[in-house]
Amino acid sequence: MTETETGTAPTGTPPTGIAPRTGSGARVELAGIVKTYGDVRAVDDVSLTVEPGQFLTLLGASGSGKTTLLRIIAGFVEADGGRVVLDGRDISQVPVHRREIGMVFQNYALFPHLSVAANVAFPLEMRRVRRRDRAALVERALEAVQLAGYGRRSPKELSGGQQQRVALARAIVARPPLLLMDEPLGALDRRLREAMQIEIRRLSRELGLTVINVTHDQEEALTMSDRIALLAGGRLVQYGTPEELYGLPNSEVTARFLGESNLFRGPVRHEGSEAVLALPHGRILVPGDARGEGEAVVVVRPSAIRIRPAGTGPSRPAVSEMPGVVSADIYAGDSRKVLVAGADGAELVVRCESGAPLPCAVGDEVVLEWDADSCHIIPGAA
Amino acid sequence: MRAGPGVRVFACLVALVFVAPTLIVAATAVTSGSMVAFPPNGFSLRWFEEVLTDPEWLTALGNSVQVGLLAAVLAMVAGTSLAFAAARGRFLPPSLVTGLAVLPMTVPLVVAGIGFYLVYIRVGLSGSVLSLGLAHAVLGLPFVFVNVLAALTGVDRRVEEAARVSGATETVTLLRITLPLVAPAALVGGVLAFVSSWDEVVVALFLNTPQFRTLPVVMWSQVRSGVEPSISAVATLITLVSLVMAALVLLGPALLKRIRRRT
Repeated sequence: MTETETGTAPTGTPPTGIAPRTGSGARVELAGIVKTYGDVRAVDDVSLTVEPGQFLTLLGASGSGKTTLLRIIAGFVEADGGRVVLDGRDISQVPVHRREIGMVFQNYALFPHLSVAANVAFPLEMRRVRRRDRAALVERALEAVQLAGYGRRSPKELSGGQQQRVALARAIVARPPLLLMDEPLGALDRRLREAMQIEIRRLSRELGLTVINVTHDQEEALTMSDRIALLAGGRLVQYGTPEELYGLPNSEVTARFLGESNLFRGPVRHEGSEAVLALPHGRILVPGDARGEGEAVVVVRPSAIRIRPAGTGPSRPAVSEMPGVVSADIYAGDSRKVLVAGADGAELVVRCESGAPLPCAVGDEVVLEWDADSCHIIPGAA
Repeated sequence: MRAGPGVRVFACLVALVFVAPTLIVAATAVTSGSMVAFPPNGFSLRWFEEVLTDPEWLTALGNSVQVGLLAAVLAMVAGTSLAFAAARGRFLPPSLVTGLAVLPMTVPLVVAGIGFYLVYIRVGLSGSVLSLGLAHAVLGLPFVFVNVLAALTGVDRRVEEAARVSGATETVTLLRITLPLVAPAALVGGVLAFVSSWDEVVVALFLNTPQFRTLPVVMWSQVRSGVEPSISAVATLITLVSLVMAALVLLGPALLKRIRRRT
């Protein structure tokens, strides 16, 4: 993140051969974007700023408004309110074809009747780049996505991954200050997707591009992004670095969306120097400063939880505890996932190392315990 | 699923029933006698020679070709435009446009013929390539419309959006991306429109004058004064042209693909 935070372009000639534009990536400001369809507020007052060269992921379930927001930035959808500001210039009223942005679509959206080279050359042609300069730029863009020499092929002859690379080359060939990606990897299989994630990230760093990526895949968001904007019901729920969203979720929505988590909600009760959640079962410590009375939500990640057989004492002092019955033990390669039916009825998830023997079997009564400081309190829930 | 022997025999019989009259007509055309008879009396191409040297037939042939081409071109332009209006239009409801565009298919030819006749008399447009070409364009329009509409529905909107975001205006996107993508469908529709004009006799009869007659009209009037093998020869020629056109439609796309791959 450090290199992108400053927004400086990489020095020297990038290996891709595509020289970054002076200042390279654009600074994107969204101010109070609103879009309603009938009674539905598809995008509900979203404001955020992306610094030059940053990779932002708009993350959310389907219907969260992420795609609508991206289409507003691209100019395909006109917002009912708010402004899209690119490098200080309000482009809300600028038509799509004059916004000078690159875009990658989920289904590649290549021009099926044009060759690969003609596809990649299209934005250059539209921007009136001289014909003799085009070929070299096209070849460099194809090199950048490792498809040098594929120019004369038809898109139909290429595999899905290759088609997506062509789409990427077409999106960056004119060196736009902003690259939009609409679930670009959704149609690819897992291995290819991971390879493309790394490649897109490398390319966007080398070109100093500002990227806004839309996905519902939390893993993709965590891997690729400098910033994540989590959307739900059209609203911006949380905006921050991947570490912040994963480690310090500010809401139940974030905690549930990013990674597995166990949530406990209840009124806070003070017991001497400690604060605990007043629940009928277990004993859940509320860490940090003693919070006032009222509700709190405690988030515990599955890997922070230890399992011990019922009837044994805590392994160390000052741990939170929750009794339950093991309902499933799922082997997942490098880890195993244990599902426990908590005494309060909720299903709890525990992740253990797959090598270590499990101190219990399915059907056993157990106690889950975790250190008070390895959980997180959702602020504002109180 | 493989067809059983029973199904195959049945299919062959049905095909034979369809094809037999055409084959018999073709057989009567190559007779060396001067009567239409089946089986033919010897073999010769003299009736084809007679037809292709007779100025009346040749004029009619020329008229038919011109009318067919004009009808095909007009139908392609109008049918494609209407298909865009139905698929992408913002002003008229798509169902209305579709209903209007396929209307010529449902109107009885006799009714259409009378209609064209009355209107063309009124506006002084009768007995010419232009008048019949216009009428046949209307009749051929649905072929183009249906084809192009299907192709347009298959064009991914995101492909057009990709062009827009690449810097193309709506017009440029239409010309460079959308139209080329539906052009093959429009062409197929155009060929079908040509074929429908090529053997259309009802409307052509209403709009014919002694100076302007197409092949089917001349055939019709000759048949009324007695059947000669020359009629069979013309019928065979008409059928051959239609067959070639049908083959173009059916095999054209595959051929084009092969040619494109080679270059």
